[in-house]
Amino acid sequence: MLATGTSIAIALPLLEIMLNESGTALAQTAEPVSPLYVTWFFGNGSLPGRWKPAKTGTGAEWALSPQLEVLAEHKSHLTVISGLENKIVVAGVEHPTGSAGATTGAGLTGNAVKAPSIDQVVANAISAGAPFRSLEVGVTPANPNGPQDSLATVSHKGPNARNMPEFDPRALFTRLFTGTRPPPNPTDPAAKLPDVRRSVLDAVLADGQSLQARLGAVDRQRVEQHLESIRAIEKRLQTVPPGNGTTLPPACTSPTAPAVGKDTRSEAPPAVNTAMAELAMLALACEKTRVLSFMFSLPAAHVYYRHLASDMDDDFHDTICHGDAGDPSNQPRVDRGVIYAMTCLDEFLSKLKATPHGTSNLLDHALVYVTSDTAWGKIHTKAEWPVLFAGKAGGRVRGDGHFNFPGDNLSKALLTVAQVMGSTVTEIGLDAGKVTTPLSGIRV
Amino acid sequence: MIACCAVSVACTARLLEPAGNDSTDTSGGSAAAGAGASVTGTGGASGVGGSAGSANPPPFQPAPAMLRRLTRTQFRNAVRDVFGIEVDVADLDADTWNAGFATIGASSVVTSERGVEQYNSSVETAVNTLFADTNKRALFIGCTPTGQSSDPCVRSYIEKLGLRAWRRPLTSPELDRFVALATKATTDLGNAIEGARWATIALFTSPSFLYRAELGTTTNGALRYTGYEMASRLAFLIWNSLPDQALLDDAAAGRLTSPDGIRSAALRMFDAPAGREAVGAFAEEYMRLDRIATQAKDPGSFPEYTAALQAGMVRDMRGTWEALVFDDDTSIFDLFTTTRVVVNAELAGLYGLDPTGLTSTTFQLRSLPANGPRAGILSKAGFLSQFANQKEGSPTLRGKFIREALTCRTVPPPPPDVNTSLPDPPADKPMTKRQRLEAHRTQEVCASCHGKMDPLGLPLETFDAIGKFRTTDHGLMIDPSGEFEGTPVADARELGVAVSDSAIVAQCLVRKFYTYAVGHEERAVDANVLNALSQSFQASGYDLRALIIAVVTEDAFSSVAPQL
Repeated sequence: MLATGTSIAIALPLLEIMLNESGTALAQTAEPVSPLYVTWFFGNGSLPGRWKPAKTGTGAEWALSPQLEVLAEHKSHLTVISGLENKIVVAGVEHPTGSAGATTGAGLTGNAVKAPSIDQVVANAISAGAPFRSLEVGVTPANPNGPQDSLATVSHKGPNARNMPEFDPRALFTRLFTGTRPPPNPTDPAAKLPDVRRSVLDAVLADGQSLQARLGAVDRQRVEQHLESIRAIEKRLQTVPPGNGTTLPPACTSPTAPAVGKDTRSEAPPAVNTAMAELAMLALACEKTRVLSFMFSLPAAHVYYRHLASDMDDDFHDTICHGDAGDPSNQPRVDRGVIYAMTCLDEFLSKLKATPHGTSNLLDHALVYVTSDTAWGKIHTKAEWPVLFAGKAGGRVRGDGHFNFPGDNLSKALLTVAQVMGSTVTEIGLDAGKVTTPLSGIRV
Repeated sequence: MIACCAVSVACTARLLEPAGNDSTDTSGGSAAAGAGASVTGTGGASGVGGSAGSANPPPFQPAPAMLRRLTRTQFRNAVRDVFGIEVDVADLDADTWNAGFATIGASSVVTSERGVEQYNSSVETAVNTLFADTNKRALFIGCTPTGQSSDPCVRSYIEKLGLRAWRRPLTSPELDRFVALATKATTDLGNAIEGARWATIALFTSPSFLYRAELGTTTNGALRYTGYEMASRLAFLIWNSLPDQALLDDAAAGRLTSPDGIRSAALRMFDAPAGREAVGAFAEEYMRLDRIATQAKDPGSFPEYTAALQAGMVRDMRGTWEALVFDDDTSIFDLFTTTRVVVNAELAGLYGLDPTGLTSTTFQLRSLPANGPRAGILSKAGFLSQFANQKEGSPTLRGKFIREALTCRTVPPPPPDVNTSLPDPPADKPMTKRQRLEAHRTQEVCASCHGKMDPLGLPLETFDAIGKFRTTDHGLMIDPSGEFEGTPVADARELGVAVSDSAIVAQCLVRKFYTYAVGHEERAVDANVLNALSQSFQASGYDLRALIIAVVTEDAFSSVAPQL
């Protein structure tokens, strides 16, 4: 059994003294373990007529839609939110603005987003003390090669500050698990290495601070972002290495390196999804981070699902979503692509559910915000945006429901996410994307 | 609803939606709006852009000082120059591309936490690799560290290396700080070498290495770049890397504060092996060669599309630009008609050349047959394969790049709610891409924009998604006719000739090179500078080296305004 810590700022993993006897909770505060947050993004939208469940309600009142049916085993953990409209989609740049709206609640200035993405807003609230403020991973790097930042990633710390996804499972593995070896014998000079590294980082910080003194406000802030990252690295050097394996899953102390590398053919193959889903689960389970962006595919991804069937061997964005004849309820190849994406989501959710966390499992403690960069890809509709919450956020979301908010602002979903995750923000978004109230009835 | 685009890549045209495999860049527009009267996008046939073409362009004003991050290639080149170790640019934080160039995005990009880790580990790996070789390490340090506190050997080593890394002398407190760090590392780790190692790592993981703070100093009442800042500007423009000792000596001696001093430094730099970077690195950004390595192709249709072929495409494009300037000494606009190619075995195969004597990693400058179908950079695989999906080339995207990058004109965004699909051709009646794009020409709502793109790309229809020559499309003969600036062209060769002869293309290249060099988008107040550069470029017979010298000796390259 493991715990992930409270919302107070402490170095992770938790000192065992803070756990109760079974290591399941922070007995002295009686608070539940912190919820975990994931943005799970898939490019090119859905078929609204096949995505939206027929009935609203909770429990037996509603049933999954055809495109969500593959998630049936998780129905009790699903909250479908329909009817929302992305108010900041701009004609001619629908995918970049759609992506920005669905993740930041704001549009673009030039190629840059105007506001931080929701995962970073959540990280402000819950990441203090976590080794990694947030992690960003992706399954397929297939992309449209456009210049906007919101096409390259859905995680933005702010304008011009992209958090690019790692697409190579082996590189992610190295990043997560290098340094988890037990420290060397204290008499070995190598035991002093972390101390020397800290001195190096101190020198780097000193240089950055004197540089900042010479700069204007904007560039001073850019250097500040760099220095914050240096401080985060420094903090990880101080982090006590994972203990004796009693509080974390065994995979955290003796992890197995993935056998598969990056998707080099723009196919989003199942094996890469499996490897990334496993590593994403471990990143949460092993207390590496509390905030994660899982980019199954990027906005307007030019992905080729040729492994699904021979007739799927076409550019999913160009040829299939835009080119195939049909309507929002009937574009068979689009349907298969969306259902494949949901199958890959199902695999991730199943791994979360199968992994103990606190008194229950990771899925109970997580909120997974599932969305895309357009509603119906063929003509880039902005109403009926695909929005799905998976998980129960430690009991803050009930699950097993379908709620319809016809024409309401998509940014309200973001504000709902932020507040569910414990953020104190009272508004999200800018311009037509600005909202000050969350969706009603979602948070318990 | 209007049906506009054919299926497949053509639909990315609908698009001028930057979602396409294209280069639509919304940054130019907003900056133009901010500047009030930017010439961007208004380029007319007369004069350089709108303001420059007008009778009274506003007087030049220096641009605000910038903090530019090294681009990925600059970081790689710097590490290679100093340590002799190769960094894979894919392992570094992604560049931001604004107005078509990473050198412009460099002034706004914010480094991510992952990026900081990547820079740090790249430096650490490079230093550790060098230090693992006892002989190389000894040569690199240049003296023998004693392990004593404040070791003079280590102090002089840091002083010299710091000057190179930070492109300026370390201040006394800075030097003391790194010497103290070296002393601690030596003491803690019990080895005299460790001080040099960790001080080196610290110098190259410091912001003063990664970011170029070129803020200027007030001289005679005007804010101008310091000598060391000029050394840095020249080095990153001409070598795409750090200054060498001679250039830093020029800076120290005050030789980089006059046009004559700058000119002689630049001429020396051209003659160094890295001088070809002045052209090659520009071509790499201008032609967006960074994208080639990230693009996949249909493995069934194009089994020959390997990493070696992709590397060949990049080298071919860069190498041809360099050869025209540095070997042939000819007009840069021969680029569009040249038969020069730089090939490895794989690319030679694609071009139908004899691969004898070539391997994947050996390259040769060769010539294509004088009367073959392929001539000029627009029929190079490194251009053609970028503007294609995994299966088919896109006349629209190829044309769009030609229009935007080579003529400095924009293409308006598509109307909203355009149905981008056309029915597939019936199975028993195959159609060429040209035929499938017919609606782009016949329907007014499509033609108003596609007429600016498709006719530029259709002559390249004789080259497939990886740039292989073909005569048929879906079994039908290809009609490669098109149009450039109102002049009909019969095929790719004629397109190349038309582009090569175009005054608009010549003026556009000046505007592109200037913004690449100064690192900011074009402003209305740059118009006079651009006009002067265009005239001197023309007078030089379109010698790109002459243009570069003209740019670096312009007041615009030496003067600066305070940081915002």
